[in-house]
Amino acid sequence: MTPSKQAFLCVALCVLPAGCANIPKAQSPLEVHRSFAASFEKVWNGSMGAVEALNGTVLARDESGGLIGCKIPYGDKGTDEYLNISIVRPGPNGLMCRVHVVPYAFSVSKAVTQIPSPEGPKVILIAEFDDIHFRKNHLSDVSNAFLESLDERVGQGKP
Amino acid sequence: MKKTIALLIVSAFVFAGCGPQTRRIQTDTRLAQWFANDFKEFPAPAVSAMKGGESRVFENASYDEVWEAVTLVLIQDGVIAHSSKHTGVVVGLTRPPLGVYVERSQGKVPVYLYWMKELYTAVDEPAATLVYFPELNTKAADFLDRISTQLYAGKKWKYLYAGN
Repeated sequence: MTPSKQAFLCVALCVLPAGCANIPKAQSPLEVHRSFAASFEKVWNGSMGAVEALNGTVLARDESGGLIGCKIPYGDKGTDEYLNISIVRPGPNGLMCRVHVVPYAFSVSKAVTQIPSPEGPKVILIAEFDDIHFRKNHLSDVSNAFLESLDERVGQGKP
Repeated sequence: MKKTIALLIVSAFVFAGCGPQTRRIQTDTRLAQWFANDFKEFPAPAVSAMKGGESRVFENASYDEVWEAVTLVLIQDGVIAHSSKHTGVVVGLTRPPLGVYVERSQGKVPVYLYWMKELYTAVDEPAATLVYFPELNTKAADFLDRISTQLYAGKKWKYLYAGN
């Protein structure tokens, strides 16, 4: 085998596994995971308790689906952050209950749009409105506070 | 002279407001109202309406597996405002908010998407749509692809996801 073929093979062997390992999975790097050696019920109750302890408001709660959407205040400026909490039950052979936390901040922006009015084609209606949209929060103290509280209630989770 | 007077009178009327008008209103979207109310009793879209949206059937998977994949993908995209595994409906506050219906079925599990564009209508002018979303077909295909990846990646390439 010539040196050039050897080099090509070497590069291919290095690159291919790296490419395979990057098969996209839906999970985002912003998401925080914790695995707990505890029952679903214990982790669910611990999560609800942690949200309550942080004075959170629950937007959506679905115990059978393992989902909580909530709003948690932080700081002293009346600011809120939003957390999605997903609790995945252990599989048939598994012992670990897995928790996914995705934090969101939200922003309100103004926009202007033009809409044709039924009164005539030359008349336009200009509406100003608040457009709410959420963005993932890269630096979330709230999700850390939630996980600390959950650890206290359920036992130390594994990242 | 008469023509000049007539022109002046017409101009005066036009400037006084007889010409085409631009109305300027300050209004909220229905979404803003729900937001202010912390989405209390936020109604899920009707299943019949959701079944008219984009869909994909996921084979060789159980309802539980598909539900888990759907929720793990949706929590990445927006805050969850409604969820019921019992009915199979979950709503995330994406832009526009997205309702997902997972139908209970053996072996082949259909997933339907419903973009809740109606939440971007004005409270004071219900007929007025305030935002148009032209690329929802692409977004829907992308969302369904991500569910597929989430669902099947761990099955196809188990060695890559050992421990997950």
